[in-house]
Amino acid sequence: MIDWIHAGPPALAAFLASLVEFVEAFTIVLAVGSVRGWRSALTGVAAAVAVLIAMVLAVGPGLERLPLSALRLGTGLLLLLFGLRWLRKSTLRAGGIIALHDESAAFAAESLTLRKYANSTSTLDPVAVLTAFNGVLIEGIEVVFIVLAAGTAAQALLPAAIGATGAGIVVVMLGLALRVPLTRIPENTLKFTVGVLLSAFGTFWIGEGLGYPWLGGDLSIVGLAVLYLSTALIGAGLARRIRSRADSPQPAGPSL
Amino acid sequence: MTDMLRIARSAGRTVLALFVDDGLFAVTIIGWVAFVAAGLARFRSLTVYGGPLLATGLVAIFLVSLSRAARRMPARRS
Repeated sequence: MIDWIHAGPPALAAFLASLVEFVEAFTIVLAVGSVRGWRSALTGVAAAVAVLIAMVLAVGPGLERLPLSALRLGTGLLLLLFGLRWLRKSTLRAGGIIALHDESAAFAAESLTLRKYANSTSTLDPVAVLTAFNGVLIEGIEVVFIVLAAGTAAQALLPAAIGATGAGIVVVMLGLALRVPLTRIPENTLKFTVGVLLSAFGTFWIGEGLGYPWLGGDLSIVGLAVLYLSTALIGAGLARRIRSRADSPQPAGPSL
Repeated sequence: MTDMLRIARSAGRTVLALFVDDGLFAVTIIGWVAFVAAGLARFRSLTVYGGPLLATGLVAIFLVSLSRAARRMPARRS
């Protein structure tokens, strides 16, 4: 029986993070399928999924055999680096420093690149297979990392895997129904939320791994999430102010 | 051999990019965690403050890195 109060936060983090990754992978596969053919695109997807499953089977059982404190310290540090990287990037996007990710533009760019290659005469198009394989593998590695890190540190591997699988199902169903890049999914808001959650988990598990007591136990994850959320919101405003000050024309000095 | 090396290097770069896109930011985070861990290992009675100390430093590192990026990145053209 899964204790969802304990397993809910890692499952939610895995679901939201995987949603972002699956949307990005879907855009690539859609571009490959519509430009170079679906047989090659789906072959690339199947090969990448097989590699990802092999990675989980190779790494997963080994992780569960590590001492819990070392596992929490190691995965906590990796989650913190991963989470703060996402939070920093999405905060810079929210502050208008870097452009928002645009799935339509990504789809157009990928389609343009694929059209540059001559069509293959064989049944399977190597360019299409490799592009779909690469796209799904790179985004999939992030999903695997989040599921393994969030799942093993919180001893909630199954709920985290359920969260990621749920995200995959949502994206595939939406994709099959709409057959266009999923531009309406608020990717930056999702990345911002996931960044907050993973940074909070990472900090909490580093503390646990080092043997520091947290006020309120597991509940302090909520406190850490609030801290990171408010910091990122303040940070977005700060970045916007710095940028507008840098962009505004400097007043001319007194002429001599 | 060269191909294998190139593939391994590219795979390594891809995995590293999951965690690092600003080297200084990543190194400072790891440095702060190591500093707190080493410092509190010497003063065991202060471990009760370990969590808040860790979080406060990370928040400060995050804000400094953001303002540094905001100053350094070219203006976005929309």
